[in-house]
Amino acid sequence: MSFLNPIWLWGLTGLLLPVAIHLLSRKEGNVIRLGSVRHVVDSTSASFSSIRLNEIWLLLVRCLLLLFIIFFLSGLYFSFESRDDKKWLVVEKGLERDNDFMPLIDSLRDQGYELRHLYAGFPLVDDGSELNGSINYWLLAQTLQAEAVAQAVVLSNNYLRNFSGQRVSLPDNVQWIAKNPTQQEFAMAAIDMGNVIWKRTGSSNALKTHFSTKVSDNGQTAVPADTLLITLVSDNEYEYDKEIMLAALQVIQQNAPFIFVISDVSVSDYNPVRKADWVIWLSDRKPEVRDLPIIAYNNTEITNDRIVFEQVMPTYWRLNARLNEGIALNSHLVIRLSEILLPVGKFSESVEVNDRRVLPEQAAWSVTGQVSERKATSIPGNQNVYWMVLIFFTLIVERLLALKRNQ
Amino acid sequence: MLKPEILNTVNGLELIARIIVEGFMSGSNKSQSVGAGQEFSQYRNYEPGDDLRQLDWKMYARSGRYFIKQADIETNITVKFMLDASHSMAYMEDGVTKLQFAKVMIAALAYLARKQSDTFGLYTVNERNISVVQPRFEQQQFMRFLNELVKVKSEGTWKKGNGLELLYDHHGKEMILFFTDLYDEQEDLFRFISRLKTPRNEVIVFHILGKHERDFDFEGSFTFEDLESNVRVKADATIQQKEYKERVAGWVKQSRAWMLEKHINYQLVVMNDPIEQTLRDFLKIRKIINR
Repeated sequence: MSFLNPIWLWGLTGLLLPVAIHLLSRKEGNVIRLGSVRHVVDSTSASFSSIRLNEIWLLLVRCLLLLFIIFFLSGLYFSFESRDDKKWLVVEKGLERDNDFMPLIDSLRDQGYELRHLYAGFPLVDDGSELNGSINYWLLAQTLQAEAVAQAVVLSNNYLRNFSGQRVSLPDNVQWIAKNPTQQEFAMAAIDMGNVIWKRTGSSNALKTHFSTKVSDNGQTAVPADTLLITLVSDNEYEYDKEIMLAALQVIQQNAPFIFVISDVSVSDYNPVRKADWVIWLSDRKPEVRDLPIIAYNNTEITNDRIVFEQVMPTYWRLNARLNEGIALNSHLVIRLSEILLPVGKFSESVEVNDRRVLPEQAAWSVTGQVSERKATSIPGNQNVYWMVLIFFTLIVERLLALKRNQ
Repeated sequence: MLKPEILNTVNGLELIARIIVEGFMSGSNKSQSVGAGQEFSQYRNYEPGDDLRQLDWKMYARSGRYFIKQADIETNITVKFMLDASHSMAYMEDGVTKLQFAKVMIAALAYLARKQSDTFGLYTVNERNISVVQPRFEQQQFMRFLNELVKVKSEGTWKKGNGLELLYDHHGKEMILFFTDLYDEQEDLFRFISRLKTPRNEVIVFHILGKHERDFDFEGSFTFEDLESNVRVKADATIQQKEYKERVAGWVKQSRAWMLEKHINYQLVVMNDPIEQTLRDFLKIRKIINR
């Protein structure tokens, strides 16, 4: 039972009005003229109390009517959902063994909370079911609201990566407790480059995740580096471009855990069946390869010379400018080239798992979100009809009674 | 049919009386024919101014003198209609007052009396007026009777003290029909009724009572006003109804017993009963009593 506009409850003072009217009213009612009143007993003196008692019914109905109107205006509504005394303690995977939360979990379990996982379907922790895949906090909060749970306490990491979709407001029956994450250091890869070990590590905390690369020569377990076969095809006119390109590739190789095998061939010597991971074609002639990933100079049309590398097909990149130092610096040639050449997503999985960034509490939940709006309009909206019907019937009863009592 | 605009005209009242009487008389035997002098009484000498039609020409042929043939007029009884015209008779139910209701009954019974060649007269009494239409047997009597009846208004209380001697003037065989609501002060009406009754006459009291007045079936709390004394009484009809009905029933029973003791015929008439039915019942009962 709640009120949307409790200010209207002041209207309850208006109940004094009918009471006062009924107390003060000395109205005689309708006058009926009889031949003689010899058989009528005056009830003002003899049974005054009984008359007042009879009109108390009318008074009650009138007060009731006023009460209903006030309740209607103040937006009284009842939640009819059958929320029994089910209480859930919902913990995100991993937090059920968290040292910080253990006392809380134990005390809540003693209070009769069921321990469940924050996961689609809210499986019981004791069932030990497999939880794979990602979760979405907002979606789960909404699902939790729909569950017939009287009270739910959620222990969560509030990881940024698990918030997606449209922001919702925190349901009334849910208490959401977020853990402050500790700094997480993680190794992404250790790659044996032959002479040195190339080592990439990440560090993530509540605010940020950053990565660092170390090159060391101590002998630790490392995987061999991947080899990238690049065929650089050029003719004489593009000698300078080739030099720039080779320099860029060299820079990339020094910073990336890959071993580049670069074959420098002239256009006339190029064999299309030659095996390569990438072909870089620096010539006015049309490239003769189509089934290999290729970066080719655009010799036909100048479409957009501001974009140095333009992707025309999934494995076909067009070079829109002749290369020199200025172009290379301005267009961030090395970075663009490394983005194109190096396989993406190689380390992203371990990054995602170890990402410790959280969404701050005040940003996590909508204050005037869609859910609460829906609650404010939809639930009383349905009950408004009942109130109106109730008021209407009370009014009819009041009128009938007043008519019958001649008041 | 019982609407004030009809009831308040002579023709309207006559019409209603005729409809009522013809309505319930149809099919019954026609009453014996009216005629002056079927039963011979005496001869007397002709005097100027006598009706020539009454001259006995055969007698003149025999004797050569003018004789008027006289016969007993065959009136059965004199019917005296007495009407309580006090203001309590202004009590109204369904748009008809007790007075109007009584007027209709009187008109109907007078019509019947005329048909049966009875003499009939009208006496209406209230505090201010006593109007009298002396009983006669004349052609115009009925119209005169109705004319007076229509004019009667309910005013004041029942006549107090003297002044009613006129009504006690009893001659020969008579029947007195008294229409009243029996509301009086200090038993005035009962004293009057008891004085009406003589060993030779027949007195019938029509006690007119409204249905709501009898049953007190008003729902809720009302202020009741006495039509004569204007006294106001506030009462809850729903609560009092049972006791009220008992009181009225006791009053009716008492009145009936009192009149029975004095050999006065008491007829309780409830206003929402059909008039034809009431009259038919009344005549039926009278027939039984007279046998």
